Amino acid sequence: MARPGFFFYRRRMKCRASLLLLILAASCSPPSEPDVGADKAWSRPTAAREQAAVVYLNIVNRGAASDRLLSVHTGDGARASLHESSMEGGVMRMRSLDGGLDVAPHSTVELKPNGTHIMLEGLRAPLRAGTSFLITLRFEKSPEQQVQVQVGEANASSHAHGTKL
Amino acid sequence: MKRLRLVLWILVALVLIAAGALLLFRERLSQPLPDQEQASAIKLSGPFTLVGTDALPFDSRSLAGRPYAIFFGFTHCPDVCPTTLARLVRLRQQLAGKQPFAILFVTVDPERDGPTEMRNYVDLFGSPVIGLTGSPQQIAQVNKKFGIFSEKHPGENGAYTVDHTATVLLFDRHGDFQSTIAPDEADSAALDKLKRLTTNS
Repeated sequence: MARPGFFFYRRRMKCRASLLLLILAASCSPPSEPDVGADKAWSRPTAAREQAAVVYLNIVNRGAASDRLLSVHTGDGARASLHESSMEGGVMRMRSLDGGLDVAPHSTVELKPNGTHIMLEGLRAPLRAGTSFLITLRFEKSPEQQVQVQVGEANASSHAHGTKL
Repeated sequence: MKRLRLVLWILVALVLIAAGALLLFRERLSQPLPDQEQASAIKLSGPFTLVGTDALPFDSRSLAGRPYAIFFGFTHCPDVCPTTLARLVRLRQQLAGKQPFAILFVTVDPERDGPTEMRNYVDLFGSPVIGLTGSPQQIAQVNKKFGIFSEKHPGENGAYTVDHTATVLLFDRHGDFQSTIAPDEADSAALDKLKRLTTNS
């Protein structure tokens, strides 16, 4: 009497375990797109190493929770910092966003000319039009993201054909 | 007692009027200057001498007969300066068939921007941009002449950026001030001004 019961119980456990595995697999296996990502990253060429470079991109938050871009990192040791240009009475002021950049739920934050941007200093070599490089974005909650930045022509005004990694 | 009360009321009224006037004045100050006012503010603009990217003196009279757009910035400026120069170059390319205007880029950071730095920088744009620098005194004089504000803002590790007027000033072929292009102005409006600059003047 006890045996079939035990067997039955084991079977149910097995069933449950495989169901659990299935659910886990379902939630993990598709190329799980994080809620917060970045795309359309572009930059302008620079003439000299000493010259500060810029990165513009879109940060997209598809999730229901807010997040914050905390810092940006480059592979070659250049310092990357978040800046904001603001205009008042015709005067341009550029200030660093030390507290990071908020990304509201279901929103896109555009880093674009004459506004919020990433500034790169101390590049190993000047940026050449037509090349690309990688930066890493670190967020408060979301996993960090690597983004490929396309260096456009000097007189570009927007992203041309950069791709998201 | 009645008199005192009256005096007090008058005082209150005066304070209110003063506060109102101050508010209005501040609001006015924060507005960008309309073209006409800017014109009178920079009436002094006229011939000036700076240093070209060939390290030789540049005399503004060499522009005689040619309209020009003049913009002040610095080569370490990653955002607004290249954005503005790129836009001017693009707009000039759209004016095909019209008499082209010269684009002048004057540094507000002469300590870091010598003739070589200016040459390398303006060469990036693939279209002629006249890069100008000079001694700090020369730059200060020209800034004053054109009503340009500039002020260093310290950053980390001794680095600095420069806050500066980002309005483009347009001068006709006689060297007379005509209008301005603000950074947040639409391309279409800017293009109209440049058309007028290159046809009517």
